[in-house]
Amino acid sequence: MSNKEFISEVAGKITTTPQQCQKMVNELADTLASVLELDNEVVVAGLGSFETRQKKERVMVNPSTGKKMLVPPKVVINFKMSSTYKNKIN
Amino acid sequence: MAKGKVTLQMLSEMMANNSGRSKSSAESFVRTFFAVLKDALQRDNIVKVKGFGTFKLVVVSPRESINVNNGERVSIAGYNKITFTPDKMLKDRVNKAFAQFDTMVLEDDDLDIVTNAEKVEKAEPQVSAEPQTPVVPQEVAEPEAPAEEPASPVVEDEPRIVALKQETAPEPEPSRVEEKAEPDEQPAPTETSKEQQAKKRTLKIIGIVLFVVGVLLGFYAAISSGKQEPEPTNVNKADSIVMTPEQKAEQAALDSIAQLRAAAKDYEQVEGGDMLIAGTRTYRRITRSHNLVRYCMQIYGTKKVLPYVMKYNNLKSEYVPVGKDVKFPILIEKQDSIK
Repeated sequence: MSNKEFISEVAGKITTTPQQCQKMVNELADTLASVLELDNEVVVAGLGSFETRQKKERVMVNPSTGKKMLVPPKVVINFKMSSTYKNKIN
Repeated sequence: MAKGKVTLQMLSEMMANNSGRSKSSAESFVRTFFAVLKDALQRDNIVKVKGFGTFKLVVVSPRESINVNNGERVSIAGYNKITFTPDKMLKDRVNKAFAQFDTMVLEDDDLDIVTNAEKVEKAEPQVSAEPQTPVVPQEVAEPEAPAEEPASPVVEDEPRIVALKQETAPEPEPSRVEEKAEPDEQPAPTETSKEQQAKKRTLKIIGIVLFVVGVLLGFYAAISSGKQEPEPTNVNKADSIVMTPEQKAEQAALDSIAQLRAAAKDYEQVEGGDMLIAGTRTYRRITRSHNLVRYCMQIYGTKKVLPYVMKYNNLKSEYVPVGKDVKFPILIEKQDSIK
């Protein structure tokens, strides 16, 4: 499902314009980011949770140059399914 | 890390605050958002939301694995899972702290870091717990940093005594640090066999622990009277508070001691004690984790000073309530007990 379809579907359900709806999506993303920045996790009942995970630095080989590279540590967002959802789709 | 759980309701409330929309409209939006998402995922297997990210339904094929306890072959059944790849904005916001770092090319002289990081990387799938592995690469890359932390509070606590000692105390330290750092790193490049990885890691951890202990002992050795031996000998902790008599006291040292002796007359002394109180050395606040005795060990290296500390603070008991500030005296030997 493309972004356009998704937005129009949501917009239809809560009776706004697709533009407003996209705006709200961005606002939601912004709020989510603020919450995750502070190391919290966001739980969506019946779906799963969003949390941050720290990735350590690692060595990798650049396949094109063949040189060894050092990838710096980083923080990533991780979505974890809830057990109810897991059972539902399996 | 403090992981607070934020519910959808809290999220919509925050969204309403940030955007100026009404709480109810924000809430209905958020609910619809995830409801449509869930539904669409079942229909389409992939949902892309601009500004948010992409949700994909992925089929994981069944695979064979080993039961860790008994080594038996186990087959893990196939299943479906949802993956989420955040959009650039979201990713960058969360990674702000590490945004400054970039991938860089490793030259050959960085081999030690490489081999150690490789070992950690290879070990990772075997070791599921995260906490163990960060210790190793960080410790190897900066062997001096953790060692310096325990050392510095010790140095701060005893500025006057260290000033009196002067000379060679700081010098044995760096050489010892270098000596200890090298044996840590030498074994790593020569061994590459996967079978010996676990052994190598435990050895490395032991090496690091010994190294830290060695530096701490080194400081005690430097402060103590046994300065003819710069090696980390197991110094009798009582010696660290008895200063001038055993040392080759230089003129300045003797003079300072004499000054302190003069000052000692102003303070109430412990009757029958071996030592004199000659001013305040430092202050500490009693906490749940640190009581008077613990601070005495920390500052003087012995509990024998307790009566002096108690006298100096007019304490009837060594049990001091949490939150009380306690002052710790400078202690010098009484004239008569000089050998």
